[in-house]
Amino acid sequence: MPKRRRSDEDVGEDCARAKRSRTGSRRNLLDISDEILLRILSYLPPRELLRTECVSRRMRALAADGGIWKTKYLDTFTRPRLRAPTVVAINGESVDWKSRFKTKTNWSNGKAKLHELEVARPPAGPVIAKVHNGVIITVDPSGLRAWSSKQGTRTLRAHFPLDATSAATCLSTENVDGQVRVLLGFEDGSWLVYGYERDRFELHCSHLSADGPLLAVSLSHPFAMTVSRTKFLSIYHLATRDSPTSCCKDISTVARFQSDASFSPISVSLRRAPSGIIAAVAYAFERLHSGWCMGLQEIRLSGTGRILESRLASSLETALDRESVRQNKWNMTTRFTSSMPLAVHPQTRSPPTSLSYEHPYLIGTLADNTMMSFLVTSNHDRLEIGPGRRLWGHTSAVSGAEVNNRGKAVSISSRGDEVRVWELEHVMTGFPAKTSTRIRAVDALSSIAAALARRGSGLGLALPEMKRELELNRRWVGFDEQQVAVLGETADHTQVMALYDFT
Amino acid sequence: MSSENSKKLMLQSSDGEDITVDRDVAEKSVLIKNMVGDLGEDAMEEAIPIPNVNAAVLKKVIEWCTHHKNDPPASNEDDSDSRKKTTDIEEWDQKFMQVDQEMLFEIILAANYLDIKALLDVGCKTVANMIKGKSPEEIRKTFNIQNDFTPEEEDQIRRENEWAEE
Repeated sequence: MPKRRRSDEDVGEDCARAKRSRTGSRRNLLDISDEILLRILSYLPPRELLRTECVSRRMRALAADGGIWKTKYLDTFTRPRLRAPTVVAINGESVDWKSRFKTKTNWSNGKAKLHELEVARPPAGPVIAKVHNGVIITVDPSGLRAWSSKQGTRTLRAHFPLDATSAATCLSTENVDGQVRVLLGFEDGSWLVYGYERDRFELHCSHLSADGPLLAVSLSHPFAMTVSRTKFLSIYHLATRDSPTSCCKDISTVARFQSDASFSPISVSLRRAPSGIIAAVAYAFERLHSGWCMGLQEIRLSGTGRILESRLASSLETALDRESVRQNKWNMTTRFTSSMPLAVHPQTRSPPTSLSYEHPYLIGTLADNTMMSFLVTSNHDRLEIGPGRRLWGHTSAVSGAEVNNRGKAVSISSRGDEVRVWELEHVMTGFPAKTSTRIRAVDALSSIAAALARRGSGLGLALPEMKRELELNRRWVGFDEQQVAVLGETADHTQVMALYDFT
Repeated sequence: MSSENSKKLMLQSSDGEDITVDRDVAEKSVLIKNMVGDLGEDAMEEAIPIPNVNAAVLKKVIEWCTHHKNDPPASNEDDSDSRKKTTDIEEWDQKFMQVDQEMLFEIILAANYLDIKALLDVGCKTVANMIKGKSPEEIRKTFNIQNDFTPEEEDQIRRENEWAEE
């Protein structure tokens, strides 16, 4: 029978039925019930399933079935790791398993669509940014902005001008009841908390501290934590606001410490624990004759903000440590627990270029093309930084990385030409699978086109222009479940964000 | 007819043919097994009507059940998310399934109706293997399925699903 183009009458099921009647009693694949067809399709590997979607409307509907893709997802990504399928419990029924499978496959293949965003033009200063549940928050002297994806393109959703006289230096986000809270730290020691909801920013509270330039901040409502360049660590308690529109006035300082040494890079985190709140500071420090080590200070607070205890751990312990602990650096009850000395690489000779700590993962990036990864144990009895693992994969110096609490990390080389995804859960448990994947942009061409359009240059200029486009000189990286954002500066000081979209 | 196991049952196909079969063979079908359980000894007296399956297909199904009568009973009924869905089929079954498409689908429908899970699986795997490695157009040709997409729609789906191709 010659193939017929789409008929005028309604297609889909009707067509299949029409077909059936034409072929009379002869059994056809389409005579089989959906239930059995699904059973047949469930034997097909993902790629074959997708191909089957092109066959006909009915096959498409069946091959995209959520039940089949859920099984494929669990078989491919969850079961091989021999862990309880914890990922399944996200919002029950509303999970689109096929999309999840696709996103996860793209992550593991390092395949992403590249979008470019110009976030600030000169003379704007440096931009800092954070990726949070699909929303990208950026800060530059002209204000606070939120970007999110809409039908495949990233658009500006909200802009809140900052009238601060000082430059923003650090940023932290958290999710409270569907609202994104943003904590912004400034050069002059002040900090602000904003709420972002329904494309609007709203100022929640502000505070001017005497701590000096802030290096890192963290937020876990109702607590906020800041660390300054002048070695002050402060923890604040924010009272509940009287009304949703008013600013919170009652900010009390729960704790303020000054440390002997200054630490940079540094990573701070506030996290909830059954007993209250745990404030943690991860830092790198240089020890005479030993090189650079990782240190972790943990302060436990009760739900009301009372300090319960403070303890320290480092990746390398000597007799000196115990001595210094006895001297009681933070002037509090401090316990010290040792960890195994680093077996493979007792020390590194140059400071880490960046640190990221999201319990229980601590990673540091190094200038020698590698990264260090540690597993932190924190329980009632001990705080310990486990033996470090060196991560190989980059072919040039690594300048930045971010890790999440499930052990996924993204790192970027200082030249910005290489972004890698790491599954640290595999690394730390000795899982033999590959540890990192380089991200490739699927449609780099469109990025060149975008660069051209922006500059209005002819084709002859395409390559040098593109090269310039890639010569971003300051690098930052952040990610969430769907995307990786890389922030950098072009040669003409335009701040550009490259977004790698894995959906 | 000396022992319990070699008791005979009579099945009547949709086209009216009576087929005699060993009871333990027939009871590979959960449907028949339950029916015999309900009817008790009466089941031995009269032919059991199998209204959805014709004689040719019923004989084929009985042939499969006879060969597999000593297989251990199917393990867990709900293995829909069993670890590995392989399409490996044992040699005898492969030969058994070398029939025309019409018979293949009849066997699948009969296995589903008679509730013979292992046979249904073999049938489904056979069809899955026929789909594997084929382009959409080849799949349509193989199964005589009409393309009800416009070329634009088909192209769109192909592009949407490109992520899985290397």
